[in-house]
Amino acid sequence: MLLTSCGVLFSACNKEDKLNSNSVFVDSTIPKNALDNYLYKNYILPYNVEILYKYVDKESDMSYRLVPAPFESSIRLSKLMLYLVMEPYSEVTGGKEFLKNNFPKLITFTGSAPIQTNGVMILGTAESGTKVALYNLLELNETSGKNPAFLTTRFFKTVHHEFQHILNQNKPYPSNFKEITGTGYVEDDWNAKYPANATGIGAAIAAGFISPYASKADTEDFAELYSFYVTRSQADFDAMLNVENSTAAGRALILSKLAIVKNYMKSEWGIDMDLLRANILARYPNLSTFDQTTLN
Amino acid sequence: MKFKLFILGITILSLSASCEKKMDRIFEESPSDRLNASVANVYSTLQANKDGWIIKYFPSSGLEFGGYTLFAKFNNTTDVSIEGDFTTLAAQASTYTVAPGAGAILTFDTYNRIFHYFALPAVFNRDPAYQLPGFITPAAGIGASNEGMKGENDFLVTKASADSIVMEGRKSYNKVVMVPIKSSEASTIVATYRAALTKFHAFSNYKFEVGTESLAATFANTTTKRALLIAGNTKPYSYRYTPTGLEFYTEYDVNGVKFRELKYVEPTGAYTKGYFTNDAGTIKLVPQS
Repeated sequence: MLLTSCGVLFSACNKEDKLNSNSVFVDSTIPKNALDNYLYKNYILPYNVEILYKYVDKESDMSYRLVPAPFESSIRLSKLMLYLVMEPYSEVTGGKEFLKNNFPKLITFTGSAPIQTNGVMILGTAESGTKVALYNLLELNETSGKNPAFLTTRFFKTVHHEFQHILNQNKPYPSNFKEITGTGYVEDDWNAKYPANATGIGAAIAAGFISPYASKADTEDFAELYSFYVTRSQADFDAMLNVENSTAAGRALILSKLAIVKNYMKSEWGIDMDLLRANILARYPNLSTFDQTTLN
Repeated sequence: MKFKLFILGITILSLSASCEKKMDRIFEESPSDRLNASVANVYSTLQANKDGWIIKYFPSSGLEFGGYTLFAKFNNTTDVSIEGDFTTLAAQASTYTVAPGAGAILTFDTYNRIFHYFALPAVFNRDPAYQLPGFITPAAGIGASNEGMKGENDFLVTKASADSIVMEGRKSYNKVVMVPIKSSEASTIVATYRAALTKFHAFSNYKFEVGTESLAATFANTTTKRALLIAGNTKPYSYRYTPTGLEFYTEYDVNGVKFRELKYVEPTGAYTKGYFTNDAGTIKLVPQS
């Protein structure tokens, strides 16, 4: 009886055809243009970063009405990001490895920006530290592309901010950071508590937050401090701290947190934030003659 | 006993397990091959007509902004140029892709000032930088601040042949029909549509006349016009201007008279502005001013 059972088990069936060597998934080929080649050479090969400048619905946010980025603006932003973000990090860290290992892997470009039902515009978003969405490329042209304040607020501060989140996920920052203004974080109440007007912004500084958004959570606070600091001159940063309604006590809290951010970047990642900032700032004057459109 | 039962169980299980027969395919090619063939067919159909295509475009699932005629030339596998009856702006070039998804999906994937105007939230469409010459330019913009005219970027192609391409908006599910432009009309078609628009768009204060009845109709959106609401109805009757009159989004019904197209008849007698009517003459759409 036992033998019969075993026999039946082993006989089973054995008439599997040879597997077809062709995959059932056949990729369609899409012809490459000059920008595709530029992105491959300047982003994918050196940094393993993909830029999606064409609208792809599944990478977009379906809950908003969004239009694609203009092709020409995508060329400008690709070149400007290389100059104002990628190159400074590479020069300060002495190579491309740091970005290749840590930088967000996917950057999407969109022409318009998500508008919430209350009319408020979203400037940039990030998902789990791997994908960063940059909006408002409709506004990027020859003139605005020479304006460091525009480029920083609209695009690059967001990039540095989201990049910092990834760094924090890989190596946590010291826990004493969140103790400094520990009871002040208000989660989603941040824009109600500190509205985006002179009073609200001043009140945020007085409470020890570099921006209203920094009051959301310690992770956001950390990324806000970092991204504001490296994209602004000391004079501009000081001006932020000294707005109307700010207080010396609030400034002191911000500066003690900033010291932790600087120390973290230096000890964990070997990046001197002052050197990085100097490198970025030194590029701003060159924007007036920077070639935004030639692809090479 | 327990052991014997166990053996018996195993035996029965082994017998019934047996072997799974390979499923026969309903189609000869793999799903991926067929999808790619359908994508390739859309690419070649779009490019085959050198004089381009008329796109009958109705943004928004509510159809409240009416319909527009676009003229598109798919110059190669990536570049498209687009003109519209509603703006005097010269043809705008941008790119397109046909990608495999739930079928072949046509995406206008880089910004085209004419085509994507419909998808701009009012925060943008009220900004003169994005408005189109010849088209309405209300200071408050058109539609809601976060949605605008609710146009879109992606269309699922449900039919592609030399005589027509039928698509479905991926967000609105609105039907979008494309018909080929004939070479004999290619040089004049845009001007002809624009002239018709100038003539018919001036009309307002409409009344439907069916039999002895007269039904007043207002515009669903007074800024864009192109969609009529009969008193008491919530669903607008949405139309585009054509050289012969009005072509509606779908077949509509007023008091039992069904119509899809109403042709313009020049002013006569009491009809000082002329009127639009069907072939049988059983319904009249009369502009009062």
